[in-house]
Amino acid sequence: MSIGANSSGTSQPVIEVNDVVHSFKGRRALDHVSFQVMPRSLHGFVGPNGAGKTTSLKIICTLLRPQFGTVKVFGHDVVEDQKMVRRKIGFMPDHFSTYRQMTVYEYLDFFAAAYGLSFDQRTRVIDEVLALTDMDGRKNDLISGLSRGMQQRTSLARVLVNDPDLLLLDEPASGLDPRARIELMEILKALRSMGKTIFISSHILSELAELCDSVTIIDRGKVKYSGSMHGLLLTSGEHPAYRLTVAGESDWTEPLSQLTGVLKVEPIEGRPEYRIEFDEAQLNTNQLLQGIIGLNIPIMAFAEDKRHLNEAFMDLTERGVK
Amino acid sequence: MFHGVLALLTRSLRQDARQLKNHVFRLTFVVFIYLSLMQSMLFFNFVGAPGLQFFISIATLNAVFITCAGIGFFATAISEEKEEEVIGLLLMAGLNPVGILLGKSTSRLIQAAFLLLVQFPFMLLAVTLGGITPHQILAAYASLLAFMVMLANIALFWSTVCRRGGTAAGMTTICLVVYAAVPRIATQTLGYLNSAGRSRPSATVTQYLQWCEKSCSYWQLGQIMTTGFADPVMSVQVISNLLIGVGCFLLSWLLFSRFNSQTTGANDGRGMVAKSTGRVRFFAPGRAWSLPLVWKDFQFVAGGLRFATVKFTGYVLVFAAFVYYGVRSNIAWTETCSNYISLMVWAVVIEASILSSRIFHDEIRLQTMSSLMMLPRSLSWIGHSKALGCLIGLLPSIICLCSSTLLLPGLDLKLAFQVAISPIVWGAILCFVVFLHLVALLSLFVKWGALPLGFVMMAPIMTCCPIVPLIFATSSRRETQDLFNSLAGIGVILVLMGLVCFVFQMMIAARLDEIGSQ
Repeated sequence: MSIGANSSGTSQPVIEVNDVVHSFKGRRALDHVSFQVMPRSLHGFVGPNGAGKTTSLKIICTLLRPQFGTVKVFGHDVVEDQKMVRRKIGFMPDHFSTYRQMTVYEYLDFFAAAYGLSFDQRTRVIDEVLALTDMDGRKNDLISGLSRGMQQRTSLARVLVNDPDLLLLDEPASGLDPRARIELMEILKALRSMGKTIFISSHILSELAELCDSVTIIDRGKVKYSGSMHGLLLTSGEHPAYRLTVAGESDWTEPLSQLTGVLKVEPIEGRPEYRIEFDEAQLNTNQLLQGIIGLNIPIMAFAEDKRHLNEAFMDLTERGVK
Repeated sequence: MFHGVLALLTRSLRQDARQLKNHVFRLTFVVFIYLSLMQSMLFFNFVGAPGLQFFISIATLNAVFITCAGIGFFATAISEEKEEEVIGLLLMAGLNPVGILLGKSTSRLIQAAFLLLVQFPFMLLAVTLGGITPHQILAAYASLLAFMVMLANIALFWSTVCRRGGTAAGMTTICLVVYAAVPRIATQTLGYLNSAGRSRPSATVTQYLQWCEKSCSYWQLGQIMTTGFADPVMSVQVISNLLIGVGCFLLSWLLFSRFNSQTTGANDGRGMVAKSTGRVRFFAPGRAWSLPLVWKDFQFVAGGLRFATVKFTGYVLVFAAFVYYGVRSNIAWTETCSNYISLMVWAVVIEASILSSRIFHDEIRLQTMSSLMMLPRSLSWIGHSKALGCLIGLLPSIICLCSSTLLLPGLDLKLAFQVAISPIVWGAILCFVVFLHLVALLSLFVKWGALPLGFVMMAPIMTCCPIVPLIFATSSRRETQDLFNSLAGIGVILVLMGLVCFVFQMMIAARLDEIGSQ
């Protein structure tokens, strides 16, 4: 057995969450949550603190039973086929969950043995995961003496010892310095290239922007968006918008607003830029550009206005705490 | 300084008031007093001094309560702040060491003292029932309060010095054992020295030994309960205990900066477990066994091979000392062996009890239960593997116990068979197994002090489960050499205790499931 050897090649969803409801002491943590995660993807699970991310993760990884709805991992029900699900996944909780009195090697060896690996398999797999997480130089160090970033890597290495097809990572980058964060992301990219499916939760969307293929945004127990990252960036209200950059400091707001089909013109504060929202039924992008040229505006740039990730996140999630 | 002390005091009192378990504990205390009072009323016509009986039961309960509180409650006053790494923050907030000590320990002392003081008016009812005087009640409460002050400050001292609450609790327990054992040893030494043919000790030594005897609260309570007690309330025990308490507080103050200036966490290091890169690799944990949880718990909970070797050597040396003392004092071999067997039985009991209180402790402290539960194994496999690992750690004491039993002269098959079919032996072993289950269960609910709490809770459990009368009923039949009755008795005891253990195991599994999903 070696890391990445197990990765499945089907196109069935790896995780299927259907209409899941879960409450704690009368407070609804998950409210009819549904989403899917496709194989070999890096799926972000984003939401503010208390949105229900950890509860969802714990249900997916069989630590919690859903009170209503079904969750399937690789087609196996998390309640009825718990052992099979556990064999195929690796879960890294938001806390380190390490035996601080053990050395890194003892810790990995213990978990590898607990997964039923033979002595020789353990030796090989541990060497591989140590190399992958760049921890081979620290294998004889006590975990208690490692930095936060190193402990996080040790925890990730532990998740990899049974070569799971699906990795569930609960806020793996929280509390890490920028360097450790970038290094962790590099490891995750390497794992994705090995064919692993990675489900990663975070409360910072921009952190996952470059990494993830797809994303689910959850807020107050309800899924606000689930789909591709590109789709999230394009999602903006009801009308398309373009961004126009001009030369000079003249104010073009009034002439632009007079164009047929233009609904709204917003000058961007401090920059010679305008955000133009238009009605697709009345004109297309070419016609809009022709109209602008007709106004003799000194155009520097004209581009589709993709919303900023944080902006999208703020629009989708609600203000304040529940 | 006083502002900070008051802030800490207020925080502790608020926390105490908010926690439901504290109120439940107090309610249990009140219920016990009420039940004792009822019992005394019911047996008013049959017992000579019902008031005295009532008072003895309450005083005993209080003594046990203070002992438990000393180990579980007072010993974590400073160490819990160290474990949460907030000592530095408290010092930065402008609190000085004496402020922290007063704020952390005094609040706990006040809470415990209140529990003791509120009983006092009810205790005066014992005077009405007869057999005891108000002076005796006052003396008993003074003795208990002084004992509490002393124990709280001994625990505070260890809490200041030790990095972990568990170590502080352990050191406090050792001090308590010494405190309880010294008077008895002093009395026996005096008796031995005064016996015929021995040289009499000097007056100073005699005086010192007598002082030791009188300074123990357990001894003092025994004296107070005797009819005609008229000694002053401020006895040697009260004064000495208060002085020791003050001394320990001052010592804690003096050593506070020395032991709490480091910013490193309290959970570093791995005790006696050797590292594989060390000089003597033989004692290192090495690679995980094919039963990995057994390996882990043997190495990191029970102390591993190095600790097992140390224990085994220690027990063998103790045996050698017993033999040497026996030969020099012309003590019979049977007696020497019996004494050593008794000691080893206690060693097994204490070791097993400590291990049962620690079996899940690290999993909770290090939040590793969720990782264990993610293994494709059942909770039962996890629990039993851990128990087996701890059991291997018990091997040195078990081997010494069995070996010394084999050395017992006159041991034949008939005697062994009689012991094997004795319901008392089976009952005692099974009661102990139930106790271990209870302690393991309690350790999943309380941070420290599962062991003393288990000890206190065993009494009502044994009362509710009709096991004790059953043991005696079947063992009395054994005198008639009725093998069938003995075996039937053992069978019933086995079924009953098995049922209790099963219920406890189900409760442990449910709690582990809850912890793992948190």
